[in-house]
Amino acid sequence: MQKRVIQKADISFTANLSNSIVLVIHPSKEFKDKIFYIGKEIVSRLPGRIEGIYFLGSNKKYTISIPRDFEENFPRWFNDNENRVNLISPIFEEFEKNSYYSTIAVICSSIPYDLDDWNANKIIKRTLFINVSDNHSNKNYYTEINLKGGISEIINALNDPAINIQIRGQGFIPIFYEIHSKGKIETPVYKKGEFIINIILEEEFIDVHLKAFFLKNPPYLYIKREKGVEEKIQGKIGKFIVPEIIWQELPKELIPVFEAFFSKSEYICYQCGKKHLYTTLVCPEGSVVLKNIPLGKVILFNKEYMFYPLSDFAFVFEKSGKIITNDGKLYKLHNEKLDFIKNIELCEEVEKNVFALYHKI
Amino acid sequence: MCLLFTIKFDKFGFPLIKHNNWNFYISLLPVSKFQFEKFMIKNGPLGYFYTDEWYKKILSLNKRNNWKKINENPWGIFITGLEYKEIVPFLKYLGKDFRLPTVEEWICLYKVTKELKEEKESLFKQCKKNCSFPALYWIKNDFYPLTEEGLVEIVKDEKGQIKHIGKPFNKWLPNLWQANTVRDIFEETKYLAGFRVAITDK
Repeated sequence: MQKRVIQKADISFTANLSNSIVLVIHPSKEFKDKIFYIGKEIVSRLPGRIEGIYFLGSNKKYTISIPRDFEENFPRWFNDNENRVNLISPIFEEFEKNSYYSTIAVICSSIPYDLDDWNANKIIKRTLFINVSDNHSNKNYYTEINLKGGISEIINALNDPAINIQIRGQGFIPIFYEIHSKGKIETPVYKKGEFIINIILEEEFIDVHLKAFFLKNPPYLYIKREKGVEEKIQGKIGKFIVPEIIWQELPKELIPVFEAFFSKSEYICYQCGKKHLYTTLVCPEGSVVLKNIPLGKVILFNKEYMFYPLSDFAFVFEKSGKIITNDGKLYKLHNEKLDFIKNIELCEEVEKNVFALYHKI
Repeated sequence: MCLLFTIKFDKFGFPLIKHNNWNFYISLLPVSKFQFEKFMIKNGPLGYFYTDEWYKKILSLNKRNNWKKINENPWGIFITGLEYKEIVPFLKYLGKDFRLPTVEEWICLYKVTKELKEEKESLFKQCKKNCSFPALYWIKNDFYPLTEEGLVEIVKDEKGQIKHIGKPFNKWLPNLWQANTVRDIFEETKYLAGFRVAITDK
């Protein structure tokens, strides 16, 4: 049997959430000026978002660094491609081959001849045909926009907002996570054998940092857009050194309470002097029994009367593959997935001579 | 393993077959628009040929059809209506030995139609790795070799003269033609003619 290897890493995700745009130009001599004008407007109104420029009938990609590059190079690029056949397959094939996620803006005077070959493909959903002629077809599997609404309407139609942002991956166990951009990073949720972190952003830039365990591959950042396919972004990987557990001595007056946990029996309360069952952690005549012990999250302890409060989201027992989360849930890595084992009911032995206490007041 | 036929693929992943008794390879299917478009994309326009205007004219004679739609206007899947001089650069692009099939070669293919149909499973297996999606789809759906019914096709006779052979899809052009009869066709109907490619096995 192949030995399972749990890996760990410090991972940072930074990305711009605005969808990138690929411009596709119909090299039609008749409509050259109109096509150039629309292209120039799109490029100047969406600076930094133009992923590339293609011409129908070719898979050659042109790139620009600044909007002016478009104006300066357009005549030459157009001449190189003039009279090419109105075919979109070479461009769509490039997208499929390279897993591009951009929105595609096709500035054309007629719909490409081969578009129907792609009618059932998801790529059509993120393709917008900007028709500069008066000839419009009325097939319903693609989106065509005319110039009546002006450039602003085109720009609006090109925007494809993110509707769901997640971090997930096979065997992904987040230990620590933080968000540097404006927004909220939600408590990880367990779903179908893995942890998922949902992110709600209030700005267009994402900057998230986490420390995590995982199996084969580090987790990815996934961005699902209204029209596009789910985009998968790799994070920047650094070394994650798991901090050594610093066990603390239990306060002396609590030792009888913890002994009662081990034997699931009674203890003599240091507050009222009476016997309480180990499940009674608020003295009827006093107050909270576990004073100076953080409550509402998991505490690990052992029979040597040492304890360790979990400060991160989860703790991984690397040898056994068990995971305990701060909300008192126990999991185990099994067949490349995380299996949920149980909720910790107050106090349970989770590893040999390691107990977990989860007590909510 | 297909014992009767050997398969080769052209630059675009379309199969050419050779029966064990032949000394040539011939396309399993007439040249499709999908295949010809790949050539136009790679080659670019050549004077007036293969320009958008040129192709628009070609398509106006035989409307383009999605290669998956084999049951509605199958004719539209194939490139038709080309003159020989418009075919030559395509043949050259495929390789220096590519040419139009001869009448005899076409008839050889016609004669093995039944065997080819029977060899479907092994053809499919052999094509699976190197074949283009459309050709694989057509084999899977019995849309080959289209010799008994398909297109009128351009071939060459022993003198190197252009001839026509084959029987058009019945549904689209009812006729009493024998597929394996060489004939002259009217100038007006040349737009219906497609072609295959062949190569001599040296």
